[in-house]
Parts: sequence; structure tokens; C-alpha cells
Amino acid sequence: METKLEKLALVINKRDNVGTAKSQLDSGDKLIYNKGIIVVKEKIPFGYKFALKNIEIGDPIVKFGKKIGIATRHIKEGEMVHVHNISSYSIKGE
Amino acid sequence: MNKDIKINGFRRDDGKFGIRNHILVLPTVSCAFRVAEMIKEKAPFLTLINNQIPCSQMGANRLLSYNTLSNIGKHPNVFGVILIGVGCEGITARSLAEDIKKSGKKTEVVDIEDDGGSIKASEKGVRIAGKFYEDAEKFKKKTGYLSELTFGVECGANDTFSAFSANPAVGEFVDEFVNISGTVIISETLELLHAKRTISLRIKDKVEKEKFNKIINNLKKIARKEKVDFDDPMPLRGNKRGGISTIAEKSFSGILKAGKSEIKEVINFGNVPSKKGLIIMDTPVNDVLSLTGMAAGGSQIILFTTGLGSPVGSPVAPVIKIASNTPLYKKLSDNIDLDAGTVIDGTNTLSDVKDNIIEFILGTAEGTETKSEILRHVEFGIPMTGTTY
Repeated sequence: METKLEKLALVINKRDNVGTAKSQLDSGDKLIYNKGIIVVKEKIPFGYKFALKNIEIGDPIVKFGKKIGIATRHIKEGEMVHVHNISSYSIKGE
Repeated sequence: MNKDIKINGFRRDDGKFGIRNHILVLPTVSCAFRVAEMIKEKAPFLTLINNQIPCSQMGANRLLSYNTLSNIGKHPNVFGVILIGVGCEGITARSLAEDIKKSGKKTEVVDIEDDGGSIKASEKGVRIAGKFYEDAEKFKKKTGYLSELTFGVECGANDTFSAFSANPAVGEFVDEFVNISGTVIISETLELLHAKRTISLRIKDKVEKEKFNKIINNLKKIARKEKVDFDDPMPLRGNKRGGISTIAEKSFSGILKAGKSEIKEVINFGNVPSKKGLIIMDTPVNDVLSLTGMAAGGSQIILFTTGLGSPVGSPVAPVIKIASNTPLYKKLSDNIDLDAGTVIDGTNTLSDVKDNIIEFILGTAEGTETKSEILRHVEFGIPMTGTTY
């Protein structure tokens, strides 16, 4: 069953490539977003981030419309985004 | 927000307006703490300042401690101060008392060596406390304006929800409050570091912009000297548990609590702002130290947003705890005053939460204790910036 993403997750800025789960999301959940469907690929705990689109290794992670880190692995749309697959850029960043 | 919102409080001799009438028992060195504690045991109405600085501080660190203790003593929420010294301490109770007296506050000194040891000194302290109590009771409330107050604004133990609920709601309050000529202090310099460009754009005054660059560069210097990667150990373990993945994410979330207004001044730890409006104070990110600094800066009330919960309070300024999510508000009901989590499920708007914050502030100002006051969470600390010999 498909649900509007806004019911289950939060996106702060339209440029963001990550959303934040308002409650735990489970593998297989389908979220309607931007005229497409995002299939959640794994359990996303309460408050954790997940990818709104495919992100290549080295690409910026965008939240608040700003770069908050870079992907250290390829991240598929619907996968969890956290310390295991992103890291800070250097403090020279901003 | 109406600029004419009135509150009742205590008009001090130096013109400042307080919303509490604390009688402090203040040891000026760690060795005097026990006697201060003994006095508080017999006079429980006192507010004990948990000051544990050693006597052997020197130079800039000693000045920092002196300045912080002096400003806490001069705070608008304070009626009077009973200072406890040993006789041999680095920052003497007598010299601090003389300084605090300049703001018009009642002060008395208890000196463990002069007054004949711990028991006699504590008996003297209790007698003094009794007299202060009678005088404090006679000090009647007068009418003042909400806009006269200074608010400290802090976030601690953040999670990802803070950015969607508590922080922007507080940010709305901050914008409205500085707009009616109120003063708000934000701090935690390391968190500002990663949003430094965004913040710098909000500082119009060139001198203040330069001060901001200086405090940021100072941190970078420390990072290089201590071989610390400020990206790496941050966010702290707690933040990671709350879903925050990088320090930049934490910083951009944190700065939301400061609204969008111009930043008027950049000041050092524990100093009182010389301008009205939104102020940056250079403090560590540790909540206890940050709150102590903002309290010394004259904050009558502190707003504290949290995602994972924090019990931390402050001795002279009531801390109002705002949860970023409803499960936290329910789980830590002992410690949390307000729930901003109603924004997450759509029951309230940010504006609704901001209105709730204002209502709660008015109640706090009139005398209703916050959870941290009820539990007597009175954490206090001054940064140790120098070597102790």
C-alpha cells in the first residue's frame, strides 16, 4: 500500500536528498513523493534519515538545502543514511 | 509579540529586572564548598553554587573564573550573596564580595580560617542566611517589561526532530523577541563553526564580524594543537543515537533556534552583552558550561531544546526544557516542561508551539517553577582553560 511520504517522513527543503522518518519505516514500505514511489529498502528507525534518490559515492548529502556530508558508499533510494555510509567533509567545508 | 507585555519581578539597585529572588551561598574555592553545603543544609532556602575551582588558577583562567563568579553574584535574579572563603584561596571571598556589592546587592563573607573552623563558620553562615531571608521577604515585586529580559537559548542531546520542531519554534520566538528590543544569547561555538558562513552573513557590524572570525579561528587553532579532528568525535555518541550523522547536520539544526535576525554582538564567556538583540557568546558545547556562561551573561531565563532528554538545570536562571518529539516528552516527564513534538504529527504548527513557549515563559516569570527548578538541578561549571599548578 502506498502512502504519501509527508505522512510518515519529514523533508525540510525541496533540494534535500534525504528524508527523516517520523516513525519507524519497514523494508517494503512505499512512499509517494514528487510524483514517484520510493520503496524503503531496510528498517529505518524513528528519527533516522533515508535516501530520497540514488546517491553516488562522493556525492553530497543535502539536508536543510545544504551539504551536511558526503556519501562514502553508493546509497540506493530508500536506504538508511547515517554514519556507516556518510561522513563529514573537512571543517574547511562551509 | 506586543512590546508592552508586562511582568512582575524584582527591580534591582542597578536598574536590572529579575524574576527570581535568590540568596546565594557561594564558595569561592572548592575547599570552601563543604561549609557552603553545611550552611545550605540548615538554611534550605539558599541557592548553593556548586563552584569547584581550585585556588591555583592563574592568568587568563583566573580572570575568567573571577568574572564568571562576579557576574553570577550580580545577576538580576539574585537578591544577595553569602560568600564562603577559606582565607588562603586564589579568588578571595572578600574581594569578590566587594565587587558584587557595587551592583547594590547585599553581601556577607564567611571565612573558615578567621571564623574558627568549619562548624563555627557554618553557624555564622546560617545566622547570616536568616537575616538575608527576612530582608529578601520584604523586597516587593514591581512591574517591568518582558522585553527587558535576556534569554539564553541552548540545545542539548539533539536528535533529528529538533530541526523540525523545537528549534524552529524557538527560532520564531527569538525573532519576535529581539524585534521588541529583547536580548537573546546563543552559544556553543563548536556548533557554530560548521555554519560559520551562514552566521557571518547575519553579522552586519564589521567589528563584531571580526570578533566572530576570531573565536572560530581560535577553535581551529586548538584543534590543530590538540590534534583533534572536530569532524571526527562529533556528533557525540548521544547525537548519533538520535539519528544525527555529521557535525554539519547538527550545526544547521542548532542554528535554527536562533531564528533569522541580525546578530548584534559577539562576546566572551560569562560577559554581559553591551547591546540588545541577538548575541553570540563564546562557550564550550558542554551544556553545563554553556548554561553557566549564559547565566553569568545575565540571562534571566534559559530555553533548552532537546531530542534525547537532559536533566541539566542552572542555579540562578530557570531552565525551560522543550522536547523535540512527543515520546521523549512522555518518557522524561520529570525533566521536560514543553512538548514541541506536536508539530511532527501535525497537531500543532510551529506558531502554536511558539505561543505555548511564550505562555510558559510568562508563568515562569511570575514564579511557577520549571522541572529543573523543582528537582533542584543546579549544575554549574567554569571552563578550565589553563594549566593548574
